[in-house]
Amino acid sequence: MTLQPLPDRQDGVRLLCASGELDVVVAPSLLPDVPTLVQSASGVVLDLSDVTFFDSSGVRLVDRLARECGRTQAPFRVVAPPGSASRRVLELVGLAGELALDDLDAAIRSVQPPA
Amino acid sequence: MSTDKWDDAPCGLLTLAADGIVLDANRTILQWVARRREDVLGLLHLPDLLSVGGRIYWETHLSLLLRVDGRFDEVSLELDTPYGRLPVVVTAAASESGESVEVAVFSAWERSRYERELQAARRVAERSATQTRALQHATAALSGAVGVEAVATALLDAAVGPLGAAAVTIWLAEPGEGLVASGSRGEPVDGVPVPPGRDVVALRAAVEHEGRVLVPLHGHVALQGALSLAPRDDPAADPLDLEILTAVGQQAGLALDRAQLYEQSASVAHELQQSLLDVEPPDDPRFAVATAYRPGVEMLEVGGDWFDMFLAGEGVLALSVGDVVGRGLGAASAMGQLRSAVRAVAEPELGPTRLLSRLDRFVEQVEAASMATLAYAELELATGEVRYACAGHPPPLLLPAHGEPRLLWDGRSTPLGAFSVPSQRPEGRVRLHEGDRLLLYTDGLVERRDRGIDDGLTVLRDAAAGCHDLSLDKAVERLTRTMLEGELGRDDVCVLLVSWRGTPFERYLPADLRTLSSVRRALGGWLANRGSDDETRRDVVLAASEAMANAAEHGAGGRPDEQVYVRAGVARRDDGSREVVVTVRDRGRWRAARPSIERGRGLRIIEALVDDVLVKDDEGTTIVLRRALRREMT
Repeated sequence: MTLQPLPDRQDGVRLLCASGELDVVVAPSLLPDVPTLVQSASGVVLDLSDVTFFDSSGVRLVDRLARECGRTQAPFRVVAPPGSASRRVLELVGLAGELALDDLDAAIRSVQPPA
Repeated sequence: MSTDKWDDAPCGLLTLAADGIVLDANRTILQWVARRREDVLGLLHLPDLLSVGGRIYWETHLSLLLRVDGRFDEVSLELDTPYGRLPVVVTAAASESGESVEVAVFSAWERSRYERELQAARRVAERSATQTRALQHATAALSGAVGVEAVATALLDAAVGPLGAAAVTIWLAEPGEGLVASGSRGEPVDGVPVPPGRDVVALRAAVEHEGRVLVPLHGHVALQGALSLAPRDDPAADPLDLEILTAVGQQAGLALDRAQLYEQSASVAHELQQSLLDVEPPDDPRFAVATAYRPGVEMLEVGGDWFDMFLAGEGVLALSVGDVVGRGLGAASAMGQLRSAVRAVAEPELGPTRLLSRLDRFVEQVEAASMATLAYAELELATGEVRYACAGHPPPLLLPAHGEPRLLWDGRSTPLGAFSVPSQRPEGRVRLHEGDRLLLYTDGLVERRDRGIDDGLTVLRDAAAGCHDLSLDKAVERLTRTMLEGELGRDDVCVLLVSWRGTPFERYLPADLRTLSSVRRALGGWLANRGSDDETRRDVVLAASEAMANAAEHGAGGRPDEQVYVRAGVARRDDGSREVVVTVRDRGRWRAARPSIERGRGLRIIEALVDDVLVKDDEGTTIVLRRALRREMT
C-alpha cells in the first residue's frame, strides 16, 4: 500500500495517489498524516484507481480527508472508476454520489478554482 | 271301427262340427272330463273342455290352423277336469269337405311329470355347481389373503358375493374380550347382536338362527371368530347353503390361524429391520447423507435390504448398501448379521477388495447371507477420493456438482459366497469434487416388471439429473418417488445418497491482523475453486475481511496473543442452490462494546454484501455470513 502526494500542480490542486490494499492494517496509520496531506492545497483529488482492496477503514480515511478539506475550504474529490474495489464500497456507504468521479481529469476539473 | 273300440281307445276321440261343436266323443275323454255324453254332444264346443289358457289358444291359433291348413298336430293343451288340469297332446284333422273335424287327445300326464322332474333335477345340479364354485372362490380368496384383516375382508366379500348373502357381519375373537365386531357388508358393523361366544364355541357347523345363518370360525385350538349372514329377500334367490357355509367357516378358521402366526413373525421382522436401518450418520461437516427405505408393496414380510454408514477409520467414511436373498424373519436377521460383519471387518488399511473377500468367508458360515449382493464404498473425507466395489450389485451413480450423472461400472464381481468367487475382487476409484454426490441403492429402485434393468438404469440417470438442484433429503425423496411411481407389488428399496462437502477453509489470525492480506488471498482462491463468480468472490472476501477486522479490534482488543478464527464452507440451501458460509469467531463481546462509527460502517458494508448475517454471543462473539455461491443469472 502506498499513498503518495504528487508534486503540486500550478493551479494548486493536490493529487494523492493510492495503490495496493487499503485495509484495516494500513489505513489507520495514515490518519495522522491527513492534515499534512491536504495542507495549503486549493483542491484535493484522491485517486483510488489502483487500489486493489478497500474496506471501511478506507472509507474512514476518505471521510477524514473530506472533513479536513472542508475545514480548509478546499474542494475534495475521489477518483473511483466504475467496477473498482473502492467504488463499490463508497457506493455501499453512500459517499459515491457526493465524492466519486470516474476518471482523473473529471476529478481535477471539478476541484479547480474558477478560472 | 266298432263302437267299443272307439269308446275304449286309450286316447280321447272326438268328432267336431266345423264350428267346433262336439258331435261325438268317446268314453275315454268323457271320463277324463267327468261329463255325461248327453251333457256334451251337440251342446259344448271342444274349447269348453279346455283350461282358460287352452281356450284362448284355440280361438287365436288352432281354429285358424284348422281353417287354413285343415289340421294341427301334437299341440300341448290342458283339459279342465274336476280333479285339476290334465295335460294332453292334441292332434286334429278336418274332413275333406271341411264339414267335420276328427280329434285325438292323448294324456300327457306322465310326460309332464317326467319333464317337471327333469327340470327340478337340472335346477338342483345348477345350484350345486354354483355353490361349489362359491366354495372354491371363497377358499381361493382366503388362501390369497395375507394378514388377519385381509382374511376378514376376503370372507365378507365372498359372503355377499358368490355365497349369496344379502348382508354379513364378522366377529373376531380378541384375547380377554370375547367376540368383537370387526367388519360387515350390507349392514352396520355393530347392527347385529354379538352371539354369545360360549354358544358359538359349541357349534360345529353353520346353523340357522333368528332368520340368519351363524357360522363358527374355528382355528386349530380356539375359536377365531364367527360370521352371521342374512339371506336375500328375493324368493327367486337360492337359499343360503348350510353345508357350503360350514366348509367356508372351517377354511376361514384355519386361514385366521395362519394369518395370526404370520403377523407375529412379520412384526418381529419389521422391528428388527427398522432397528437395523435406524443409523445415525457420523458427525462430520465434510459430508452429508440422506437415506430412504421403502418396504415392498403388498408384502407384509420384510426383505433383506439394508444401508449403513460409519467411520471405517480416521476421516474415512464407509458406505454399504446390500440385499440379502429372501424375505421374512430369516432374511432380516441374515441382513443384520451381514451388515454387522461389514462394520466389524472394515478398517482403513483393508479397502473394498479385501473387505469383500473377508465377507465371502463370513457367508460360508451364515448360509442365509449367501448370494447376498453388496455395494461398498470408502470416502476419504479430506480428499474426496472414493474406492468402491460391487459384489453382484447395481452400479453406484455419481452425481457431479457440475455435469451429467454417471454410472460407476468399475469394481464389479459376483455376489458374496457365489460359486465362482474371484481370488481377487476388483475395485473402482473415483474422485469427488466439492458438492459431488454419490448414490448407492438396491435393485428394487431400478428393476420393474415392465422394464429391463438397462432401461431402469437409464431412467435412474435421467431422474437423478432432474434432482441436481434439490437439497440432499429432497433429492432422495424425489428420486425414490419418480423411480417407483406406478409400480405395484414391487420389492423393497434402500437408497443412500452422500454428498461430499469437501474441505472447509480454516485459518487462525493473530489479533494484529498482520496476516489479513494473505488470508484474504487464500480465501479468494478457495472460493474460486468452489465455482463462485468474480463478484461473489470479491464481496465475500470483503465481508469476511470486515468481520475479521471487527473481531480483532473488539474481540481480541488488539492483543496479539489473542487469535481470530475464520472458517468458510459451502452448504446447500433448501432450494438446492449452494451458499458460502463464513464464520468468524473471537473471544470478546463486541455486541456489548460501544459501537464506533467505523464499526457501524463495517457492519453496514457486511450487511450490504451478503444475504444473511448472524451474530452470536457465546464464549466470545461469532458472526456467520451467508451468501449464494453464484450470483443468480437473471
